[in-house]
Amino acid sequence: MTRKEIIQQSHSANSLLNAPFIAQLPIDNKDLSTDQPTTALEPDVIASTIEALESGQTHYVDVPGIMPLREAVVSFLTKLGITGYDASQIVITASVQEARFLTLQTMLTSSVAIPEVVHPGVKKALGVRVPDVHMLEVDTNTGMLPTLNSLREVLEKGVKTVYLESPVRLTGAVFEASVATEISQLVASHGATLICDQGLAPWVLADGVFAYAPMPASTTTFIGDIFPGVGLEAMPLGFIATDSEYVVGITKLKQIMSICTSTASQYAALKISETYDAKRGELIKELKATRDALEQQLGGHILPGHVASLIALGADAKASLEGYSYADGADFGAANTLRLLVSNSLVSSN
Amino acid sequence: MTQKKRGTEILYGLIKEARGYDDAIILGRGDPDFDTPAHIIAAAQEAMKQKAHEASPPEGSLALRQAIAERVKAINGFEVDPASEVVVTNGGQEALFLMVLAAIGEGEALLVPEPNYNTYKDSVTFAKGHVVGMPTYPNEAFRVDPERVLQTLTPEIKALLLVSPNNPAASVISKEDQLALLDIAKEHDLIIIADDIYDLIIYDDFVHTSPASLPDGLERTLTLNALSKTYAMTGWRMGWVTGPADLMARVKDLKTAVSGPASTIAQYAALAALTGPQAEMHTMIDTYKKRRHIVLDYLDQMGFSYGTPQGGQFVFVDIQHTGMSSLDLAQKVLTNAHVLAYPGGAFSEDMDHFLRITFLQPEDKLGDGLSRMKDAMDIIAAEA
Repeated sequence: MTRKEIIQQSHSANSLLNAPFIAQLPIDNKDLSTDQPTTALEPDVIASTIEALESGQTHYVDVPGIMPLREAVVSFLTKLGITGYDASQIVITASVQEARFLTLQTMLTSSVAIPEVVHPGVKKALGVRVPDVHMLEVDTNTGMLPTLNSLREVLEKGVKTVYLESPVRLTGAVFEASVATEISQLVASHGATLICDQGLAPWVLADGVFAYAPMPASTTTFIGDIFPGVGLEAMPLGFIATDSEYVVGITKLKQIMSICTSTASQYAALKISETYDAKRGELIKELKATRDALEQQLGGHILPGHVASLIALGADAKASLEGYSYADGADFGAANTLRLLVSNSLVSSN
Repeated sequence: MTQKKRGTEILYGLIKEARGYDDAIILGRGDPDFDTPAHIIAAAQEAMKQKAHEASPPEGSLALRQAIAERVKAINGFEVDPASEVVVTNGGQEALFLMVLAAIGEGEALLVPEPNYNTYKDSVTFAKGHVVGMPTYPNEAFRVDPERVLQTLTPEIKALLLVSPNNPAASVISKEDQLALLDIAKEHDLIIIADDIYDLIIYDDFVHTSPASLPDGLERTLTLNALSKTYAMTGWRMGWVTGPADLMARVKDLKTAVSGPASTIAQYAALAALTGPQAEMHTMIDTYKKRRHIVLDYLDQMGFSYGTPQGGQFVFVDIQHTGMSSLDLAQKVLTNAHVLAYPGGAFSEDMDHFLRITFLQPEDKLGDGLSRMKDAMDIIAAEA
């Protein structure tokens, strides 16, 4: 076999790397397959970004990101209930996928546990340098959240890195606060570390029972999208909030793979940070109203979920979605399920 | 000097220290002092207004890939299909990372002519492979000698790195040597990893040759390039990989796994760079040519020997006569003159008697920095 044939063969055999790619941005207003809402960039954000670029912010910046943005991310996380980090523990990434890759490839040792229903980007990130992957069984009744029993089982087998999503990227389901606390205790008692994707947290419909960030900073690394829903999707940014011990390794790998993150994106995000909380509040209200209307429209197909921005449904809902694109649950590991971005376009058409 | 730290860690440590001096002059880092041309920023502004919802496929927008294919054809002399043989990356660094991951697996090796840019070693280490270094020598103008490559080959070597002009040695691989190196790659079934990032910054009568432009070269060559150096766009993070469709399919999958699509807005800026006015880019290159003379004049005054740069934005300076390690000398010059030059030992253990000095400061600042460095060298000589 030639060298190229050997590469192709190993590539084809790598089922993790070949997991499906899911786009971050919709193709048109009937494409509801993405997981973050999008709006136009505000003129003041554009003006501020261009001012930064014209004043010479077109050069390399610090690997973990510009400090004012890292500080803004700390405030953003605090408002989401994620506390215990300072700006030196934040790394800005070129996307949430880069955050997945950096954390998984830096923090795992020889094995990792991931939910059997998870964003396919997680599998792809693991496929680049394949560890021993353990699957956590999920419960359909909770919106595909991993079960405590399966978590306990993998920790007892010696797995030291656990990757979770809360909210779940497919359904928007989040752990009950008591369950999240139990997860933290389990992980800590086994000397393991937890990576938790909180990218959908800005859209959680908090009701006091479900909590999306009760895990303590000492044992948890959080990742997610920075300021989603307000126009940054075409210049995406992710974040990593982690213990100082891991910042060094993550920064080292970030330097090796991309030196730093685009300054245009970082300065746009910095301007957005000034008004994000208010805009997010308005957006949640709008999304909630749309979601309520969709729930009525789509009836009994809806799976448990707690975010305003998306709905997961059984495959039998396909008939009512003709002409629309949606995410296929099979890509996440859940056949016969689909996911819709909450959108007015669907409400008005039915 | 100690090699316990990674080369990159040494360099970043020196940058951090230099930032502590208000009057520091950085002659180490490869970041052009020019700002990005205005028409490129204007294109980003327009894209932010009009294209904030536009999705990009993971391999980059078709319009940008087409522009890259045109650029590669016009400047590098080979043709690629924008549909399947181009992937847009977050700068040349990500391009490099993806190329290494595509070509090298666990236990395999990349043959690296030394000295070289540290990230190749770091990326190969990440891939659980290893680097087999092959020395090049100042008295041979850091030539990548095909005969020496042949002697260095081992069964675990699966790919050959060719960086021309080289960083940090600033040497250009001749067409004749590229042909001989390609023959070796064909005979031993090696993938060529070609780094063309300085392909437009060439001095005197030297000529850049892309391995992919040679007969049968494209089918086994992954080539990287980026806009950082030639268009002063280091902060935008825009680069690309080109290569044969079968290898590029792997590069594309790796791109989706590592980071996903590059910023749509930065891609529109890159499109403006490649398809818009080129005058500023040529002015920058002409300026580097002038600055090269300024730097070499000062080095002559300081009594340093060096290989005259054939390309790139730096000169690799022989410091052997000082009797100091490159890190010790760089540290002393930084502490006493507040001028940062990069120690050669950070690029290769065998290059610990070199400093890399860049041309990436305005002429007056460049002169000031080198003048201060000369004063520091006089004191060092007097103390010796």
